[in-house]
Amino acid sequence: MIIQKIEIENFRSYYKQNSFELTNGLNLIIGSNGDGKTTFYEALEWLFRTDGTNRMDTKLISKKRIEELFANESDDVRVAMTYEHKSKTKILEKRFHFTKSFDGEVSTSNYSFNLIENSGIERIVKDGVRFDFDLPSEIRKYTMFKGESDLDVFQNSNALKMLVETFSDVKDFEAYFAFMEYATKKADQARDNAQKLDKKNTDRIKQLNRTIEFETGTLSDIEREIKNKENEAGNFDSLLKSIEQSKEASKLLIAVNRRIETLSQKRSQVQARINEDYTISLLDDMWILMGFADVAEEYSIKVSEMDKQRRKLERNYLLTVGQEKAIKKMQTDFVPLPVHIPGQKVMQEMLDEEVCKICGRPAKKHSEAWEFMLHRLEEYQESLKVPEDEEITPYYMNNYIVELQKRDTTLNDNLSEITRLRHKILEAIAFNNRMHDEVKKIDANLNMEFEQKKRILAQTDGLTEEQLLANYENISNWVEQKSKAENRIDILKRQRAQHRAALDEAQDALGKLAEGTSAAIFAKTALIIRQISEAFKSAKETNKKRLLHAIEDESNVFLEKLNSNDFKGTIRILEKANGQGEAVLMNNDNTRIFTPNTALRTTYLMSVLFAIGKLSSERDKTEFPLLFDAPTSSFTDAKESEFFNVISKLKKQVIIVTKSFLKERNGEAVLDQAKIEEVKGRVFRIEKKKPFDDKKLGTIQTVISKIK
Amino acid sequence: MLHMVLDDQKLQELYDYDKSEYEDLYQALNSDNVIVAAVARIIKYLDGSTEESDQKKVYMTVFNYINENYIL
Repeated sequence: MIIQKIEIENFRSYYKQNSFELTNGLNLIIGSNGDGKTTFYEALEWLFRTDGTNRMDTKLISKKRIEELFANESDDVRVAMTYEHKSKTKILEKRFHFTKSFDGEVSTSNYSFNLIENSGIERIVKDGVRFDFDLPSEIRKYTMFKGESDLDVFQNSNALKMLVETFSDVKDFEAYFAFMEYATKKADQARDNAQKLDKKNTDRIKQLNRTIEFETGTLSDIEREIKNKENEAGNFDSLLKSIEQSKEASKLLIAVNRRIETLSQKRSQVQARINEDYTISLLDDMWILMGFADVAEEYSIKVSEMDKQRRKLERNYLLTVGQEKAIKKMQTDFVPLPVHIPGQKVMQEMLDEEVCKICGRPAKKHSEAWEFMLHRLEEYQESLKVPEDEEITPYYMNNYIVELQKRDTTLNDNLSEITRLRHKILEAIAFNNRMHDEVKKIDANLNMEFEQKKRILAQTDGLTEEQLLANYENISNWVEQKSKAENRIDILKRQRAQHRAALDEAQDALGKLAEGTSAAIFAKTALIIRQISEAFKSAKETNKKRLLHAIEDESNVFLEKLNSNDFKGTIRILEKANGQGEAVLMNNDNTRIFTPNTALRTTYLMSVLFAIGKLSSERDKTEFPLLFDAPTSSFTDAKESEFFNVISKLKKQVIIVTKSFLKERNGEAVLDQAKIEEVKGRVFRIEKKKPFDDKKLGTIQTVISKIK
Repeated sequence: MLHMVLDDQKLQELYDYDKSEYEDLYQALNSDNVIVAAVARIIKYLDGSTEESDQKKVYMTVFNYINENYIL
């Protein structure tokens, strides 16, 4: 099938009639953002829709055309494709009528979908759904792709089944399977009936039939369980694969969370060791005395000064008082002796000798003169006595300064305690400072970990932290479940082999019993039919495997072409237990490449598509076009050139709508002529007609120019 | 389909035929090898039908063919 022309009329930005004359090879439709690339693709999607949905929609109508119409005027939306298929030229056309009312409302009518075939001069109009005969909907799935994410045709759960059914003869086998089941049953019945005539071996035949029945039933149970277990293993495998990409992120997140937890605990511990209740310590632990040394020193100096002053004052006072007293004594109480009286001893001597040695006259004892001398001596002695009650009034009436001095001494003794206290306080503060530094370091580490966590969560395709953690928890569980299911499958397969052998043995024995009897040929026929039935079954599997190998081989040829100077790996088509398929990329050590870069992913998926396309053309003896909307967004310039070069040599009709081949000049997107020259094929430029109002959809119109 | 069925290893070993000798269904139908001819008859006469009446008819044809032609 070759598309010759595509006509788009009043379809969204395609105002009035527009057409693309295509070539059988590479067709590039180049446009910038909003120029109508996706609209072109969607117009074809709408045209190819044969299921009767989305027939008429006012959203499909060109806004510009609607605004242009006067009331009660009408026009058509039309998309048509002229194509050649098996030497016939046909036109697939879908259209509907639209009318603008007086109040500006737009109504639709007269939907038609036709496949028009020109046969000579005759024009045969058929229902458009007949297009499915020319491009079956199942093949259509492998011909149109929007963007790079759309390329994985195996994303659909029954894609492999459809692929196999479409491109192999597997589907044809179904009728034969049903027939072989029927024939096997009937042949066994015929054999059993014939053997009933064999009276001699009746019991043995019954026993063997019971064995056959038992083994057949058991095999059926085992087959069922194998299928269930394969599904189970396949599901767990899918689950594991689904989180494969987030597995690393989950692991990293777990590690980060553990570090955050450890650091947070450490922070709490360090924080708890900080004791900054300085106010309490001030009184409870007597930290208030920290300033005591200075106070004590000042106190000591002052008390010392005061004491010095005290002593000075007191001495002066005593001196003064002593002098005054002596003078007073001398002035008042002291009896001066005559100069010739030498003193008390002389006086006593004179009394003892009863002579006055001053005047030289005798003074008999108890004489008046003697009595006089005695009286004078007694007076003299009396005068020498200091009166006891005449004490000196101290200068300081209280002992306060002495007390203060004593306190000073005590305080000086306490200063050593204060020094110890000073050390204790300094140590406590230093310790707290160290702990604060430690907390700061932990906080810095914690911040780093929180940043790391943010980075992990920002790069996990929208998975939440809870989902990532749950995935990690599930991994070991799923791996275990998958492993259990696989082990069980191994056991069941061994059991199946044993039961199959037992069944074969019983059937052989039954056949042998029939030997030499009239039932022999019936037994042999039943056996042959059973064996042919098995051959049909294995043929189906072989057929499927051949197809998958063929796709793999072809895919790898295309992959090689599309990545000639790059790492590419090898494409493998895997058939999963649940019947689903997957196209994967493998390394040379047979390990799977889970996250190829986008360009490699695109090229390997595209290679699979090209391979399928090739198979489809081999099968139907006709080519089918491939239509891509922006398939090379992630490609580098070099890769893109290589890609288009390969495509242009494919000998296949490929239509690519793309914004590649545009470069910017003076703020405008213009064609890169040099790059266009390098590519073989037809090139169209689509762009918005200028001028246009960037805020008014009704001014937007796509114009097409054929570049080469 | 004929080739895919005749490709079965076990069938080849048991009934000793060379699948490459049969290029088309017609050659297989006329084969001296009963198994090859029986497979060809199944494919040709059933013709993808799932009707029980067709199944019965084809079964009888094939069963009788084997019964009559296979030499024990």
